[in-house]
Amino acid sequence: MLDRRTFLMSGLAVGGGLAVGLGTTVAFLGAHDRREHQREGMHGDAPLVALWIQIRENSSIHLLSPHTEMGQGANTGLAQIVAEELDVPLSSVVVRQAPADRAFTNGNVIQGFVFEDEALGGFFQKVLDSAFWFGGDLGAVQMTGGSTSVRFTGWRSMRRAAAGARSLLLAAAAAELGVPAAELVTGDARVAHAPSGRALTYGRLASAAAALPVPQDPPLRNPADYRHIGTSPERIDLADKVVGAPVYGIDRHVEGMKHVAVVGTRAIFGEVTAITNREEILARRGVEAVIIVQEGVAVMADNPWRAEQAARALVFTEKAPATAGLDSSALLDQMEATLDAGDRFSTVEERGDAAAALAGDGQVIEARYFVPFLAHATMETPNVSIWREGGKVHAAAGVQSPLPARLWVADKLGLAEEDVVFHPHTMGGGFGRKSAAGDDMFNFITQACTVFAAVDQPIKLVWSREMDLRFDRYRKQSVARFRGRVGADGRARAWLADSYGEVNIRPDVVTAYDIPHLRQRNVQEATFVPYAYWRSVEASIHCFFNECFIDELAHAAGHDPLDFRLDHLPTAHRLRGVLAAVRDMSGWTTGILPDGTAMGVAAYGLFGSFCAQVARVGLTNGRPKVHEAWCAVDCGTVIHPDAVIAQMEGGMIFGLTAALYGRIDLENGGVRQRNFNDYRMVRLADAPRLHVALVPDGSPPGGVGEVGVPHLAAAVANALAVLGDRPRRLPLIQ
Amino acid sequence: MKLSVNGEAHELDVEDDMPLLWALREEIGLRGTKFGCGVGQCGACTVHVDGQARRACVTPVSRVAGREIRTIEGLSGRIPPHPIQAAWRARSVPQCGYCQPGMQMAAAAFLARREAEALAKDPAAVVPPPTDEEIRRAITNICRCGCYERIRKAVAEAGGAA
Repeated sequence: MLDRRTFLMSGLAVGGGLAVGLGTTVAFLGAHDRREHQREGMHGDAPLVALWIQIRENSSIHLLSPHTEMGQGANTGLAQIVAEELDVPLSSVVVRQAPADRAFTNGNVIQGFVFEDEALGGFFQKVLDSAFWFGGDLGAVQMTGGSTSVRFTGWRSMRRAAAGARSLLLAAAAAELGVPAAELVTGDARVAHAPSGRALTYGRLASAAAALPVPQDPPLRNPADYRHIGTSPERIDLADKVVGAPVYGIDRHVEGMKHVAVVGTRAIFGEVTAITNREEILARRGVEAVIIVQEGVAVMADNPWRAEQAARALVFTEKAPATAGLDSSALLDQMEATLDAGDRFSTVEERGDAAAALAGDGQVIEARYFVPFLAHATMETPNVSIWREGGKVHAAAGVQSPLPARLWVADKLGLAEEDVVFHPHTMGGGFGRKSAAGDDMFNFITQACTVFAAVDQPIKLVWSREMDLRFDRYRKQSVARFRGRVGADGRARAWLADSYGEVNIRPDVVTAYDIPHLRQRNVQEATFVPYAYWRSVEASIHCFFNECFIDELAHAAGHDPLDFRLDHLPTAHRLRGVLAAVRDMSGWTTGILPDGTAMGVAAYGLFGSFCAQVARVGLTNGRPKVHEAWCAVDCGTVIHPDAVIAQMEGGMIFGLTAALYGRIDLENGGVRQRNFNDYRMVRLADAPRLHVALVPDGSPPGGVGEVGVPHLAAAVANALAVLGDRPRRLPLIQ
Repeated sequence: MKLSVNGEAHELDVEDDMPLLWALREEIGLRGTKFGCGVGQCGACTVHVDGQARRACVTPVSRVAGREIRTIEGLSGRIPPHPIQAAWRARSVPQCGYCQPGMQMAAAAFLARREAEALAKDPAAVVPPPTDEEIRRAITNICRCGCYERIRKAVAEAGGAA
């Protein structure tokens, strides 16, 4: 199961009681030279401790989650896993947000990718870079992303820690009662000895348990006995969220706090050289400071609206960056040329002789696809509060990476890590924007630090939606050229995919279909456009490419595209089950339905889960309208079925927004889009009716938060190909 | 300037053109109403003004002086919950939850207006639950987590659908 260089550890909780967690050493990365080198230079073999579960003397169970909540509901799933292995009622588990501290990192996220997924690739690299950049070791990884919370933190680590805690409590009870442990049973946060009728509460046993040696491979509960896993208790954050009670970062209030708004430079990377009307701005009501910051000017005032109005009235001169002449359409031309030149590819997958196999009977199909840059557009715009309290600098924000954010603040303010306290907040959306993995991710925190350093007063910086869209870090614009052949026998014989895109996790990029001659190549070069992961990462790109092209081959072969997919999947492949399920639930048909709509399908595995979706699409005034969509997902062992369904529904809408409307254009080195009027979102009026089914599988949990996102772009395009010309460029509504 | 918010009177010293959103959040301290776009597009800032849904980020505070303003904090308490809040909870609607105060205020105003219109025509009317089409037309707020399927069902249920 877990790599042997991770170990359970336990100890006395502060204030009495038992604390159990997972420790690890950074040595497990020894195979990777660069990491090893950095490790030696930094920390040696120091253990990283994550004490996640505390059992208090009143028998309450405190679960310290390193994951931040952004709507995915992962903390409820983690509580269920812990309750299951500890054999306690869910109501006795209190989930608390772990502090942004090295004691609560989750390097097991990295382990998950190292040991579960075959390719390390760019994702791994980026996450590690974000860790090494700040802290020099895995101790700085505290990340919610990559659909990892439940499948790695929960299933790999907390489950084992909870089982270890239960074993310790049993051993403590055996010693106290003077009976063999085998005669003891747990239940309801107690250890009971049936023959003598005696029982001890977990709280009573906790401190004694803390003194015992911790078992390294504690027995896990039998899935047949699960009482929590596989049920849908009310999400722990729900009661607050239906009354508007959660305090997001933007709601943080500190006495005497001033408000900061920023107006950005025309281009990304612009540099403000002088402010023309500083005095006039400073004379406005409530305005207290005007400060040049990275890529813009900040205005501090006593009210956020006054700050924003003043920022918008600023007149300034700026030095155009070297990239000021660049735009996304020129970049596209360059990417197409690179594809055609064909001399900079790296091979992602190769089997048979695909180029030679293009020749033969049947039909050769060729297609080019395009997906644009995308912004994350979290509903809560980037924001951060910074103040001084008790001799330390405090910062508060909702981010996916609290510890890196703390280190970021320390770095920008020239402080030691221990002089900065970071307060993680629940997030109004994340989608990759609020993680540390990517290019200069916390640019908004950098700006706030500049202001704080200048004024040394409590401040809250909140970006306007315009700042958010124009200074986001973007999903990559990508292009692909596909060639393939279907033989006279109707089977796909050759598949040649060349992309200028992104490849991090190989299984999320390579088509699952069993095609005898396949070559996939990719070129991935740095562009001037800042980059970040965008919910579902490269699957959002390559699912569109792959699942449109397999559809084109099916049409060329004259086959039902859903059957064609099934015919080309290996016998035991888990996409088969979800394809069969979505066929049944959607009442799948080919051709145009009597009401003028048509169905399209896509099937794709990502983050360890498998999903197929069908869209029923019509044309209203010549524009695509998605009426209904079906989703079948196999994400292995399901912890909280309703949370999985919610994530699939939400993922489908997120993917549909991108498919129908999503595009970020760069013009003269800057982003053209300004707000939701030109960066459109799916709303209720164009949200299709959704149907989600879970396809059972006993495998360990797969990812959930991103798994529903990529499919609809391809499924909708494939449906439109039935109604008329096949679209090959996103977004579908230009 | 005098504002009446959730039944409480507030005296504010602010510019006439300050949007209601920022007066609520910063001058009065009611932060359940959210900022999302600043241009009336997303509806995260939706509040009620004399019972009507209004986007507070584009509503100058001077235009609502003396009128009855209701925010998410005043929609209802936890016990008993407003029918919209009960339906939201039963359906487990929110994900990140950020847009939900605005979404709930929009939904509550929609149901109230619909009921008032029906009863104005016929005081003895039994108001039927809203149809999908009515809900889709009436609520134009953005939810980036994509909770629309559950929102649609929850609004219908709060409006009496089985």
